[in-house]
Amino acid sequence: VGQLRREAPQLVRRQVIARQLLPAVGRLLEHSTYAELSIEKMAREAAISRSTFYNYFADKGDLLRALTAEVMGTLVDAARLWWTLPPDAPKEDLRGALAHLFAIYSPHAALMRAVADSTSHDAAVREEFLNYMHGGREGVLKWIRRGQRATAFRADLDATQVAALLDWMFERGLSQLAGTDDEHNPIRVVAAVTDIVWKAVH
Amino acid sequence: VAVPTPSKRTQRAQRREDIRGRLLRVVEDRVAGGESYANVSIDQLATVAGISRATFYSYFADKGDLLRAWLAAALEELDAACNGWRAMPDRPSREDVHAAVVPILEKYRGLSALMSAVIAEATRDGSLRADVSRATAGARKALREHIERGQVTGVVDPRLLAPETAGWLMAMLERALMQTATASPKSLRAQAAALSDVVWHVLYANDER
Repeated sequence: VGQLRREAPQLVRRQVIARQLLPAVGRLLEHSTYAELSIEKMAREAAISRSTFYNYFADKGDLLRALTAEVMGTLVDAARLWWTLPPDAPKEDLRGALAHLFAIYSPHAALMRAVADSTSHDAAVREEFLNYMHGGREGVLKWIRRGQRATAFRADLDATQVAALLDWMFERGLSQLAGTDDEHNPIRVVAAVTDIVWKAVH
Repeated sequence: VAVPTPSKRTQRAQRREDIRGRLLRVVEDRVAGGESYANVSIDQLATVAGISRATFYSYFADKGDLLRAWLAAALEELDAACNGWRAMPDRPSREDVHAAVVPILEKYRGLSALMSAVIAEATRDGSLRADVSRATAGARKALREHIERGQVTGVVDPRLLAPETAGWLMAMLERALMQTATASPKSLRAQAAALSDVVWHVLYANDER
């Protein structure tokens, strides 16, 4: 119990520090890759000391894992608005829910690209990433199943497979089509994905 | 330094191909065994392939270079696997779409170990990343034009935003292809069925309420 008392605040502090580093790292990633960023640079941008950093994170990989949890946790929460829509919700509500997810995602696009990149060589980040992807798939799956039970969605739809496809489509598509640059028009991007999700299940 | 005669040059090119083949087989084994290409060193590759580090560098500039020529050939094979998609009738049935999608997934699965090495290496090799982006952008453009043609002929819902829809569908396809690496034949079939089901409903069903 004594150990737990000592460790629990440390974990909470770690997440607090990660939350403090998140916007700073996001800003730096607009102009460089995660591999190019030094701990000094990130700590300075977030206005924390190097020693504070090392108090809570073993290294850059460890920080990225904490940031993955922070951002993907936020995204899964944002996506709940979609997954909890009633089966008979009109298309306009689906569009609103997906616009919300898009808006929450956009400021984190650069970080999410860094996360996806490092999944190819960092096993710890990959595990964290895949856990959240799994959570996403489960959320979509429940939404589809509820729609099928209410006979609002196609009964011949392979719910498990389609949930996985939509989950991955959002992961990859958001990282390419969302962001703070003006390359893509958010309204069109959201309208297109609303059509895809709508037509996929109805 | 003597200028190599053409036959010496041919010999060297053949030797390069032979060594590339041996190295790529090692890469394939390591990646299929769950290792990331990023974490495999040139020393390890060379040792297992039975060549020296110096020999590696006499034929390839770096780890990315080893994959570059393979990628070009792999992309051609993938492109050929898309011929069924291009040959679909103007108003394809679900079965037509399914029959066009299966060979693409199957082809990619055969390439998946080295493709994942390419994707890992592309995160740090700018020229390899450019090759991959060019291929993806080309596929996205082809899909966009496919959608636009369908909208002209009235097969595809005219309200769909072609460029963005192509972007999202390509994102789905990219990730679906990567999933084929670990898919059993049974789950590959289920995946192909679901993918073609979604694509058919999005592009051709045209029965929106």
